[in-house]
Amino acid sequence: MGVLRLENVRKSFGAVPVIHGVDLEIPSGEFVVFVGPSGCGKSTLLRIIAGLEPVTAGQIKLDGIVVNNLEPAERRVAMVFQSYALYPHMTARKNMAFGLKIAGLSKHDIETRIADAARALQIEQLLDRIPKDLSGGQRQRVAIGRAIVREPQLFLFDEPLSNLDAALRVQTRIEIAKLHKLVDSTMIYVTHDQVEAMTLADRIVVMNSGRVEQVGTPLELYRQPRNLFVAGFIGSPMMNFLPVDIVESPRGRSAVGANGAAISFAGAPVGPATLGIRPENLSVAADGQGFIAGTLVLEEHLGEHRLIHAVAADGTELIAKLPDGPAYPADANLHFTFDPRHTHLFGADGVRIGSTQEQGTLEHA
Amino acid sequence: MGDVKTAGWFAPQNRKETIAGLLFVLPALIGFVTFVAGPMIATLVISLMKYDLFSAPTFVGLKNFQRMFVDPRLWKAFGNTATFAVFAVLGNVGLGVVLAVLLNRRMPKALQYIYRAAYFFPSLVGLIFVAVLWQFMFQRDIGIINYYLGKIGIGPVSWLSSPQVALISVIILDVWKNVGFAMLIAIAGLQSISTDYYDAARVDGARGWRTFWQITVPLLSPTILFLITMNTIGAFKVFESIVVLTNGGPGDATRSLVMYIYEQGFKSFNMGYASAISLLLLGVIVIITTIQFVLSKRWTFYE
Ligand SMILES: Nc1ncnc2c1ncn2[C@@H]1O[C@H](COP(=O)(O)OP(=O)(O)OP(=O)(O)O)[C@@H](O)[C@H]1O
Ligand SMILES: [Mg+2]
Repeated sequence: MGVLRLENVRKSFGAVPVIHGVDLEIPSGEFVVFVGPSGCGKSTLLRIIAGLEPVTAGQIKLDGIVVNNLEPAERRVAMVFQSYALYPHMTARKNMAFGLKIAGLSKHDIETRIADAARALQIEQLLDRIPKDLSGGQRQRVAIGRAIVREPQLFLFDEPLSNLDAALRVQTRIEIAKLHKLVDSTMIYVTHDQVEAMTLADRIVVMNSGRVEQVGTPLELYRQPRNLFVAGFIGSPMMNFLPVDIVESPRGRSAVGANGAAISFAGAPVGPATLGIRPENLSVAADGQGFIAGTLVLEEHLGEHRLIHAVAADGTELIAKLPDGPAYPADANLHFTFDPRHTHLFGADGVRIGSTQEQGTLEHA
Repeated sequence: MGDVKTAGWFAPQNRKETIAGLLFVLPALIGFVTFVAGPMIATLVISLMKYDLFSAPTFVGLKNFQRMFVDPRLWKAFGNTATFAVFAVLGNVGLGVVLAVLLNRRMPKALQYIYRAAYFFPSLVGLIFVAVLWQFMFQRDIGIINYYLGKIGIGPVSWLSSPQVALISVIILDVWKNVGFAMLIAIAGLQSISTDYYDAARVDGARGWRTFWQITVPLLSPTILFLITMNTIGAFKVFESIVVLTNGGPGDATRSLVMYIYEQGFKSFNMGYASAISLLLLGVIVIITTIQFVLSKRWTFYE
């Protein structure tokens, strides 16, 4: 079990509101990742779920029961902290046993659980060391071990990998994914690393200044971002945003590009809008063709592909991700086109209107 | 900067720097020689003399030290001092840490400052006022303490005139006066402990006293050791707290070692004997602080 439900959860520190009414349901066994820019309230929301921070309003329910006034241990949650927070005066073994002793487990049960967790995490030889004598990656494992042995119904991770080097991050990320398969508890994981979010999550919760912008599977967020914020936040490099005007034309409602090419959106209202195209969906067209033109600023070669940075006449910055090839001459004037099936249209209020996938076609002039 | 000098301090290329360095430490050095090293050597020498300040000192060998063994007043003072030290250190450090923990919790800032100031205030008050205040509090017949004790049915206690109770009174005064300082140091120590440990402990289900004993005390242990050491040294040298309250009385019931040294030296003019007792006190302090440091390896924890 471990169904978590947040109902209109609000939190203020003093007079400053930090979480502005979050509703969320996480079914048992799901791996949910909170992402969002720094300071958007991810850690605060996680601490509220843990029971370390009281809510200002709203309800937290675990398996249908309101747990607002329960201590973390009573909620049966375990948490892995960014700093690991291993008790520095206790050996790894004692760190793992601490919570179990308090919970009143027998010595034998405690030893079995620690032995099992240590085997799974490959930290058996480290159990009698104090945290000071462990490397960052080893501490990380002990911290995860301390969470596992409690057999919680809810695992909470607050940026657990951010203190590790790149190689260890990848490795530990994979291990956390394996761990989730193994223990089938509900897991909530905070990060601002997109790759972690995309690879680990069953569902991602995108947050922005104390609000949930969108909840969905990684591919849903990638393919159908609900608004400009999510569209810009998910995906790297960031989605290109072209300011366009939707006008009435003989072909119906459409946006007309610099080169006369038009993309039609049957259902879009007339007026200013934003056309979103991911860098991987932009390509370079023949001179005078394509939807938009731009001057080359920089070309980055990354081996299998390259990133073309350009700036359009109206100042819009463009990034295209192309297969690697011979470099363009400096300051070249490039014309970009795109696959009409992979565009996103956002209204003046930033909310998604639709995509050509559903209702548009690109017609060259 | 940073280049290793292989030649001696006074090699021509280093001489200037060495002289400058010596000039910088000179004021501290003069102070040390005049007020620490000098008197210590003098004490060592005088302890082997018979010297009454007026006539020339005469060498008496170890006689002053032999006299210690047959001086019941000395051992009474020694016992008083040791008892005082044990309870004053327990009171100051124990209560100081507990107060620090209580005042380090979340509460309105204003309240926090008021409490901290209130507990620290006695450390700032001149001893004469302290004496007047506590003389009044401890009065047998018109004292405030006995008034309230009377209300709950406890007969008048002879706080200052009973030989058994007077030492307790002295300890109470000392803790009242000095606990605020220990509290302040402990608060500083507490604030350097990351709140993550407390969050982790809460997730583990630890609360109240368990958190205090298993998280706070170990993480605060370097501060606690510092407080114990400083308070022990201070307690063994206790003088004015007792002078102002009981002046060592009744009889010798509250006389401390330093008071006895003062009496021998400046009232009975046995400078030699007073110096010998001073060395005894020094030895005791050195031994006890050494023992504390050795034992502390077992219970203090440095991150
Ligand atoms: N104890 C506190 N008192 C006052 N303000 C706080 C407190 N804790 C957090 N905040 C504020 O709440 C907001 C959200 O903080 P939070 O730590 O949840 O952000 P975050 O999304 O985890 O950011 P990061 O990615 O940098 O960790 C921030 O503006 C922060 O300054
Ligand atoms: Mg955070």
